[in-house]
Amino acid sequence: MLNSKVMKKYFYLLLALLLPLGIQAERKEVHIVSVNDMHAYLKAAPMLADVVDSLRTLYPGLLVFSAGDNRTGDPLNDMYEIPAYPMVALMNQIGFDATTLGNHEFDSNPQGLARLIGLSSFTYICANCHPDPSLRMHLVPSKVFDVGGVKVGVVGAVQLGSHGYPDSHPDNMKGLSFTPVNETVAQYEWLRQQCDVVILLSHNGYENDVETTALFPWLDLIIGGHTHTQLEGGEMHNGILVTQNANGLKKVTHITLVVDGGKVVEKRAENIDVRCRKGRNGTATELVRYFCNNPAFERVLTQVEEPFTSYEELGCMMADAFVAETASDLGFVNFGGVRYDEHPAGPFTVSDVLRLDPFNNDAVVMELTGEEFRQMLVSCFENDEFKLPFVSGVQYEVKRDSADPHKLKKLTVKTLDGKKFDLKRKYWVVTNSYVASIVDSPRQDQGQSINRHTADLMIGYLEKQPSINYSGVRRVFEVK
Amino acid sequence: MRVKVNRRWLQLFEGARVGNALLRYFTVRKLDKQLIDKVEVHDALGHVIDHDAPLHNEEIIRCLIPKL
Repeated sequence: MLNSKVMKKYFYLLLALLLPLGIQAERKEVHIVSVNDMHAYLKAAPMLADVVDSLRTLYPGLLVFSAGDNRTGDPLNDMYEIPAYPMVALMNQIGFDATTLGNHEFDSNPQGLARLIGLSSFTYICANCHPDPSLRMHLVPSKVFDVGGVKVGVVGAVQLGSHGYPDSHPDNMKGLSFTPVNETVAQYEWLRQQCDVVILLSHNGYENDVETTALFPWLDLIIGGHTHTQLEGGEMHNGILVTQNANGLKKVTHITLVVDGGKVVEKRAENIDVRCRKGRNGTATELVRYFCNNPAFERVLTQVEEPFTSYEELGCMMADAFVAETASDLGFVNFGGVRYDEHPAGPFTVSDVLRLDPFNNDAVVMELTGEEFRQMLVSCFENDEFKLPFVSGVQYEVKRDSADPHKLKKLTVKTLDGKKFDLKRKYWVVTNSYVASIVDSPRQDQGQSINRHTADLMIGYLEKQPSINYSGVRRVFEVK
Repeated sequence: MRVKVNRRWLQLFEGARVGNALLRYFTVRKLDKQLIDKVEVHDALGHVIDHDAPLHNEEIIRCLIPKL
């Protein structure tokens, strides 16, 4: 009898000791590395791969997610033979599990995006982008990942501009339709019933992500992108963890979610510096080296008949390219936007264009009166180190103030055949985003970025010309 | 679109980025544009944002002008 009582005591003691262990065994951790807005910062990919390798050694079920804008930022990536393929190859090698679409994923038209998706070994999750079936674009609205028995549901979404589509060139949206982010995400509440963890992979900007937390309390985590907001680890809003980093792989976020009994009971996030990391993955390093020695940059676009011998000849060619590619009436480029002043006769290559215009400026189109255009030229001179801009579609004469050469006494615009320029008529004018920023002359229309780099306009223009000859071309005349 | 940098509202082209707003701000305030690269920019809530970050209409950003 006594023996039985002692046995019972020992049994309950053992049970009391083992019970917490049993509970502990049910607690599981999900580890995630999240990036956003990498913008093709290829050079940091070997360091990112090293971060992922290290964490994957510790946590074999590590998930690696991107909140979009993986591309656009480095011509080595964006002007590759298959545009933006280098970044996809690196993401494949690093072992990404999924990305959502950023607005820049659309930069090489829907066919280009569909091709890139086909070359990716990770999933593209975006619920509010609806491609036409003819595009064969393999997007999924959501996906459930199994991490050691924990079900992690992910829904993705991309920001929409005021025009109803992501901020990219409108031509890149053909065959695609979009639905508002919150309206779309609301349809995925069923993930809460099926999953232990529910994540929104959002390329919708920090402020919108915070607003989203108030609408969907059933989310556990929002991995954000688009506004390049550097958060310290993550922030809790309405019980939902929100993360985001600055662009170009300066930092990534390591997120830990503790799951107990089908619920997330703890959320942690920490930043990991990437660019200053000493460790590098060897394969990724070799891939980056390969992509940086890209023979595609020596592709010949056109033949130069007679050598370029001045900034003005090259500047006029640039401005002509802007006008031709945007179907504008007039164009101009600042003096400082032309980076060399001579080029020999013979082939003009992609690399020549990128050396001539290395700034990644976007083209900006605006509707101006002739007088507003004239005033922009004056303001460009005043704010671009007192150097005269190069134009397309017109020519102009200037008279400097004899007492102060940094002041223009007069600037007269004429048509290319020397006739009077109509200052009252409206014209479509194209320039680069640097000029559109520094020129503060009064005008009704501040313009709109067409989301194409000016270097890209030049490549498009030159590859349509069998040959070019700007020898002796002058459109800016100084009179005394 | 309209963007506020420090205490000044600026009119910018649609699709402008933080760097474009800084260029305009430095232009209208006649500051040395070479300092722009050193400027740290914060959004309205105090988070650091990149010069490449997109802007939206009525956005408010702040920057501290470095001294030479």
